[in-house]
Amino acid sequence: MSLSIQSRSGRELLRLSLREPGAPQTVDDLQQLLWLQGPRVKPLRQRLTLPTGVASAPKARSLLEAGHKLEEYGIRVDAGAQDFVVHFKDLGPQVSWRGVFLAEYLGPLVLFPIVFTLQLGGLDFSYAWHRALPQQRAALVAWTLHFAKRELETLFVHRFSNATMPWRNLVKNCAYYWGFATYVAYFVCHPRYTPVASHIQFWIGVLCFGIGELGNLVCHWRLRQLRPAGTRLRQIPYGFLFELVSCPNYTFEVLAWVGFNLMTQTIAGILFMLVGTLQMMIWAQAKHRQYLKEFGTLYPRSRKRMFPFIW
Amino acid sequence: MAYGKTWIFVYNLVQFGGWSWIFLELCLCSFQFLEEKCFAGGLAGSTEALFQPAKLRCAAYVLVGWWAPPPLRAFLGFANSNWQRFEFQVLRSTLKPLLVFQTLTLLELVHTVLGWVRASLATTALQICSRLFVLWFIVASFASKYEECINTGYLALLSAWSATEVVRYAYFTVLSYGNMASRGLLSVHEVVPRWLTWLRYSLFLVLYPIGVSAEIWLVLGALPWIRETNFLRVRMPNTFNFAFDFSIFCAIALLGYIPGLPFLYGHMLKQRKRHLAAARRHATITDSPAQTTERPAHRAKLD
Ligand SMILES: NC(=O)c1ccc[n+]([C@@H]2O[C@H](COP(=O)([O-])OP(=O)(O)OC[C@H]3O[C@@H](n4cnc5c(N)ncnc54)[C@H](OP(=O)(O)O)[C@@H]3O)[C@@H](O)[C@H]2O)c1
Repeated sequence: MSLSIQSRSGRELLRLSLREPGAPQTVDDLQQLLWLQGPRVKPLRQRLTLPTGVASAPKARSLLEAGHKLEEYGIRVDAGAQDFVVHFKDLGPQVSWRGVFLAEYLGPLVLFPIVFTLQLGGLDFSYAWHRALPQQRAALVAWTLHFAKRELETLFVHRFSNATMPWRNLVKNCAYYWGFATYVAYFVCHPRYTPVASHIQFWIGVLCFGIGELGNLVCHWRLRQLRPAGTRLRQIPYGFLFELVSCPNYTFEVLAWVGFNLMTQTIAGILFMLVGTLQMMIWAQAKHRQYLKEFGTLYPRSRKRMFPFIW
Repeated sequence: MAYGKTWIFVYNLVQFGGWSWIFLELCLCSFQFLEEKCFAGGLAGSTEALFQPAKLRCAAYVLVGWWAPPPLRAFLGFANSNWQRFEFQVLRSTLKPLLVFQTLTLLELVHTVLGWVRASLATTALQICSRLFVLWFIVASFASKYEECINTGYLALLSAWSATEVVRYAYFTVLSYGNMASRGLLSVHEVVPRWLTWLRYSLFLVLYPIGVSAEIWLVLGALPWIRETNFLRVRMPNTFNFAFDFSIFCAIALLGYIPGLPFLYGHMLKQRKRHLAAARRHATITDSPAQTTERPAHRAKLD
């Protein structure tokens, strides 16, 4: 009747008796014990999983999440003389989840105006503004609003379930966003930029962009309502475009970038949109699967992942 | 899966044939050159004549010509017109098969994605794409400027790549044949002779640096011509608001070699250690008298 914490190669790091007083009841207890008696890794760096192929967990999930009882994962005293194994992984140094988002969006927010100024006005922003074509000014406003909105949402709307992520993500995400921001801005703000020929296309672009941003905000607001402050609760979202897809916030995000590209028409912008869409499709697939796994038959079958009626 | 195994065998066999052809073509051209220029027609005579010190020196001369970096070759006098004609002859008879068989390696990405071959997709893609980049965008695009830029590294590239690939595909042909015929019941070391495993995981120690430095010389040599001919250059203004400068792209690619080279070399060193150790373990187990039913503890995956 014991609980063995092992590295993934099978080395035992800590063995606990489940019968003794002071035996861990929750995942948090276990993490504390690992921090104090085991491999001396802080709880936020720990990743605890059940070995694959263990069917005892009623919650069909193998990741042991903080805030849950151990018995929810099938680790209970009354389960006969069984011994349990939990796998431990050190995730490495962590940085604040919210901080990563703030940093990665700060790049585009600041870099686009800087490139705009350098490309069109040397060091003089008002001269650059004066010289820019109306379409370039519109692009600057749209881009800046988009990333300002994301910063504000990160601060005041999202209720993330994770507090931290590995610091490598900070480097990776910042490289992605800061790099693309510079690349797109270089062409959109180029002195020899060619504006789109048709006014209709431009205004359709503005419309798509506006709808995309508003729709995205509405989705994020609804997701916030699903989770009481300070919890990690996950619920099935209903209403709005959630009736059709699992991740409508991604759908609107893509729509906004379609709009931006209709307005500005650059290969760089289209590339940014395609890479972003691909990334969101991968996440949408994972989230959709997670919903089905977690809520089973309760989850509406007809829902697609991200593109209504299609995928 | 049976189709997969058969297909992998056929693919490896075809690649083995292709690269052998390329390598033999290079050797034949070199022999011809030796015969005409160094032995003055005497090679066909007797085999014992081949091993005279003077002639061995000639053969060594050709090897140096294959592999020495451009400054050293200029210093050693490889700039003469005979040598130049020889190099051009090699280019003419090898470029097309080289393009065909190297481009075919794109299939290996498909094999990896389909799970028919166990390999890291990222590493495979990196290796294949960097080769195809040099081959199509530098060598094939500037082949008409042979004397000006391609001669900086073509021979080294060709000899290093083809020698590596002949051995590599020989190894995989034997392996995939054993895998197919035994329906996956035999381990790598029961199928592949130890000397072949050794060659497969040792040749790169020398050939990989030669190949990579040839790639770098080729790109550096082509840079002025890329600029002069505005090769693959798109300028603003245009309706798609796009600009591209291939020489900048090349410069970035060259910078990519700095982290890429130690990474790939380290990756291959690790593989070498693992595979050779496993082969040694297998040999000691099967050499011991009480071997009969015992299987090697480590059954390397047939990849
Ligand atoms: N252009 C691009 O390249 C790109 C790429 C990706 C994202 N984005 C943008 O960034 C935004 C945020 O991305 P994201 O991946 O963080 O969004 P997300 O995971 O879909 O959701 C945002 C917030 O809602 C919470 N949430 C999600 N589903 C929930 C549920 N069923 N019940 C309760 N709470 C739930 C999430 O919490 P958890 O912490 O538990 O997940 C998170 O705090 C996207 O909507 C998009 O606008 C842009």
